[in-house]
Amino acid sequence: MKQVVSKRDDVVFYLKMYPLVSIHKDSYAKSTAIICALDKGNDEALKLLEDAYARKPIPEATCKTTVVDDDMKFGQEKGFSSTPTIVFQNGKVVSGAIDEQSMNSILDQQ
Amino acid sequence: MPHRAAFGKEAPLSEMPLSEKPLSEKPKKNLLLLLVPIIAIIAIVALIEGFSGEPSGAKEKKSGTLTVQQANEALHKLNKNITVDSVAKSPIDGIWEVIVTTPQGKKIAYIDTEGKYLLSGTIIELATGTDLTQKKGEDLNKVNFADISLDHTVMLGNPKATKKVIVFDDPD
Repeated sequence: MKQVVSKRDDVVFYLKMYPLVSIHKDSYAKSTAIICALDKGNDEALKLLEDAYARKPIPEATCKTTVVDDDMKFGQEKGFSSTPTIVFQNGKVVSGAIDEQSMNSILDQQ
Repeated sequence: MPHRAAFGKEAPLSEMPLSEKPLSEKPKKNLLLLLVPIIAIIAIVALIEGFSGEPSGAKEKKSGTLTVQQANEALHKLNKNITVDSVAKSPIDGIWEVIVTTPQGKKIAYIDTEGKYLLSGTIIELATGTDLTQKKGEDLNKVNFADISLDHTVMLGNPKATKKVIVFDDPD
């Protein structure tokens, strides 16, 4: 995703936290912390998310929120079972990571 | 075989009038007269069977259907977490396309008419190279983009961009 947006400015990704709690036990807490960080602005939340991806420790959640639960519920209802699950504007759902080239080719069809 | 079956069915009828008419003066003639329509019926039945061009056994098998309930019962032998949504004819004779809901979303499976075998794979139309199963599967699992709230999401990229993508990801 980073590679895609570094090369084109006609794309924006909206990242939702979707912790696979059964296999990643700290994931839910991290997800909540990132959503809470949105209160301090998108940049702050994005920084925390990148730290989490880089496996750096991130601070604990600073708020209480049901956002993560709501997104988990939605995803489970739709049968999203792997991450990332990518949803495009035309409704196409891709399960699992795809490379830059595939991402670009789907985006260009939109 | 159909001839015999038809004759066997009609034969008792032809005997009945005889025993019921002991007073008839010419029972033999009556019997002959009675046999005429019976022979005609047998001939018609034979003709119809002939036109269908197939032994009756094969015909029955081909026109058999697989109901949602039968498909459900068949699949539950394998996995109780699967529910059958619908059953429809697949492009292949005798194989049914079954749409199921699993904990991993909606999927397509293929089952034979008798519900004995499950075929897990994709059907490719050789003439065009189209993967019919994949095409259908994508439509099944489509999500209405507008149903997903963009609030409380972390944005990556140009906020004013026209192409939008929602990503559900695990931060861990």
